[in-house]
Amino acid sequence: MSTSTLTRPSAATRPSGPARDSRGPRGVLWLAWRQSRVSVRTMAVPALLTALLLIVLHFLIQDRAELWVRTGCDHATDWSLSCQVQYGRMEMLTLIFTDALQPAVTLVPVLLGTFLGGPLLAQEYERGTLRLVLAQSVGPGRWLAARLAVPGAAVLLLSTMVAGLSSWVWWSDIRHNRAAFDPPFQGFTYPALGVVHIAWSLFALALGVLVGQLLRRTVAAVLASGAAVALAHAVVIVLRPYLWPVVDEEQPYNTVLGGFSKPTGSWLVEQGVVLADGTRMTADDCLNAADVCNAAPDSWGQYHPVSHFVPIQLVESGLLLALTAGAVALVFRRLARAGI
Amino acid sequence: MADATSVPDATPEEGRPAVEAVGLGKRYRGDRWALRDCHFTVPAGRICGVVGANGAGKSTLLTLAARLIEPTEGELRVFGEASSTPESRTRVAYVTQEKPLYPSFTVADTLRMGRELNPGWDEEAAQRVVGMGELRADARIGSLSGGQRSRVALALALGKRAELLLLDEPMADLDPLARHELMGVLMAEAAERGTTILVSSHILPELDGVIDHLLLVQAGRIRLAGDLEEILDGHRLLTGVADGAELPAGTAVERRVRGRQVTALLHTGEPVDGPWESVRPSLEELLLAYLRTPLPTPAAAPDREAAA
Repeated sequence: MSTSTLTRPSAATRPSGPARDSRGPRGVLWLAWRQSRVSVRTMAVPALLTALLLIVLHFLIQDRAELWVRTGCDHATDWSLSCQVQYGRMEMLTLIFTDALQPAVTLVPVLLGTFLGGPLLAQEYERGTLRLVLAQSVGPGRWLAARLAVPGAAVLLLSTMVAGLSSWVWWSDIRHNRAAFDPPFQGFTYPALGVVHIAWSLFALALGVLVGQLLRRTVAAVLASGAAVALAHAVVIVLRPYLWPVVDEEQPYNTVLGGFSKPTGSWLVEQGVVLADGTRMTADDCLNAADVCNAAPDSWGQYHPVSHFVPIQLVESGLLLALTAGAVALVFRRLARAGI
Repeated sequence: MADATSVPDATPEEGRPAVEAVGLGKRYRGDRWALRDCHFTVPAGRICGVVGANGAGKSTLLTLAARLIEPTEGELRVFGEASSTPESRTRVAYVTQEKPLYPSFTVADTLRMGRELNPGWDEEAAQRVVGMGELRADARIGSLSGGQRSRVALALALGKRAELLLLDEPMADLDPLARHELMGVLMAEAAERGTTILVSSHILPELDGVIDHLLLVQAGRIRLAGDLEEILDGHRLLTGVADGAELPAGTAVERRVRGRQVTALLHTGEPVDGPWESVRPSLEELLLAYLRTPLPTPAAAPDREAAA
C-alpha cells in the first residue's frame, strides 16, 4: 500500500519528541490518562487523607483502649471521674468514625456518579471531541475501553483501599467498643463497610457514564446522574432485606422490651405478636386492635442476624456488578450503533 | 521522500475512485432527508470542492465519508470499502466544521494525541502547520483564538498522513493571510503525496484555482458532479439585450434581467447563435448561477412555472 512506503522515511527521521514519550502509557491509554489525570488526582487526595485518618484513628483508639484496661475502668462498676473523662474521649474518637467518616464514605458513590461518570461521555458528545477522536486511526471500541478503564481502575483501587481500611477499623475498634453503638446493618454503617462500597462506586460510575451518553449534555448529565445514583440507592435500600432469607422466630412476649427481643446487632425487618389461636399480627395490625394485641402471649420477629451481613453484602455487590456490566455493555453498543 | 516536483505518479491508485456514492441517502430523525439519491465519483488524487448553500447536505456528506454516521440507503464507498475497517480508519482524516479539540490540552498535548493514535503520524508535517502560526507548544487550546484552533485541527489532520482528507469549512475562521498560507500548505501536501481532498466551503473565491473537481450539493441532491474543467467547458455565460432573441430552449440554468441587459447561464457545450456575447463562465459565476436557482423538486415545480 502506498501509505506505508511513504510514511516509513518520515517515521525514521522523526525528531527527538517520541523519545520523551517512551515513559508512561502509550496510544489510547495515554489519551485516557491525559484526560483523567485531573479527576484521578481529585479523587486520590481525599481518598488518601481518609485512609490516613482511618489508620491514625485505629492507633488512637487502641491506645485509649489499653489505658482503659490499665486503669481498671473496663471492669469498674461505679466510675471515677477519670473513667468518665476517658469514656468521653473514647466516645469522641468513635464518633469521628461513625458520624463523620461513615456518612462521607456512603456519599462517595453519588459523588462519583455525578462528577466523574456523568460528564465523562456527555462532555465528549457536547464538545464534539468524540468526532475528533474517532477521526483518528483507533477504533471506537478500543478508545472507549481505555476511556472507561483508566477512571474505572482508579475508582476500583481507591474504593478498595477506603472500604478495606474502614472495615478494618470497624472490626477491630468499633464493633466491641463500649463507648460506641454501631450495629453493622445501620444506615451509614452498612454501605461504608465491606465490598458493597466498591460495588456501589463502580456501579455509580457506569450509571453516570450511561446517563451522560444518553443526554449528551454536561450540565444535564451531572444533575441527572446524581439523581439516578441516589434513586438506585433508594431502590436497593427497599430491596435489601429480601436479598437473603430472614430468620423467622417466635418467643414469649417480652414485657420489658415491649415485644420481640432481637439478638444483639441484628436487623429486625418485621415484628408483631402471636395471638393465643396462633394467628400473627404485625405492628401495623395492632394499631387498630390494641386490646387483642395486648392480650397476646407470644411475639414474632423476622430479622437478619449479624452472620447475614456478609451474604447480603455479597448478593448486593453481585447484583450491582451485573448491572455495572450491563450499563457498560449498553454504552459500548450505543457508541457503535448510534450516529455521533 | 519524493521531492515536491515529482508529482502524483507516487500514487498507483491515480484514477481509481477515492469516493464513490451509489444511491446514497441519509435521513435524520424526524423524517428529514439530508441527502437523497446521490450518485457521484471522485477519482483519487483530486481536490474536490463540495459546494452548496447552508443546510444543503455538505456536512452530512463529509460525515458519511468519515464513517461517523451510517447511510440510510445506498452506499458511500471510500477506496472501494462500503464501511469502516481498521485499515480505512488510517487512510481518512477529517476536520469537522466546529474543529473540536480538548480545551484543557496544550498544543503539544494535542499533537501528541495525533502521534499516539495514528500509526503513520508525521510530526514534521504537523509541526509545519502549527509553527507557521507562531503557536507556543505549551499554550492551552482553550486560550487560543478560533483561527489558531483551526490551525491546530488542520495540523492534526495533516499529521495523520491520510490518503483522503475531508475538510468541512476548514478556513472559515482564518484571516485572509492565514487562509492563503494554509491553503498553500494543503495543496503542496496534496500534490506531493497524491492525497485526495474533499473540501466544503461557501467562501467561493477560496476554492477558485484550488479545486479540480466539483460536487454541487443542493437540497440534499447532487446537482453537478465531475471534473471542473469539463463542467466549465460545458457551460456558456451569455450576455445580451432583453428584447433580443429567445434563449435556446431547455438548457438555461439561470436567466437574469438587469435593466435592458440579460445574463444567462446555459448548460451546453455548443457555441450559441444569436445576438449574444458568449463566454466560458468562471467558477464563481457558475456556482452563483446554480446556487441562486433551486433544484426543481416535484413539489416546487408548479410555483416556479407560475413565476416564470
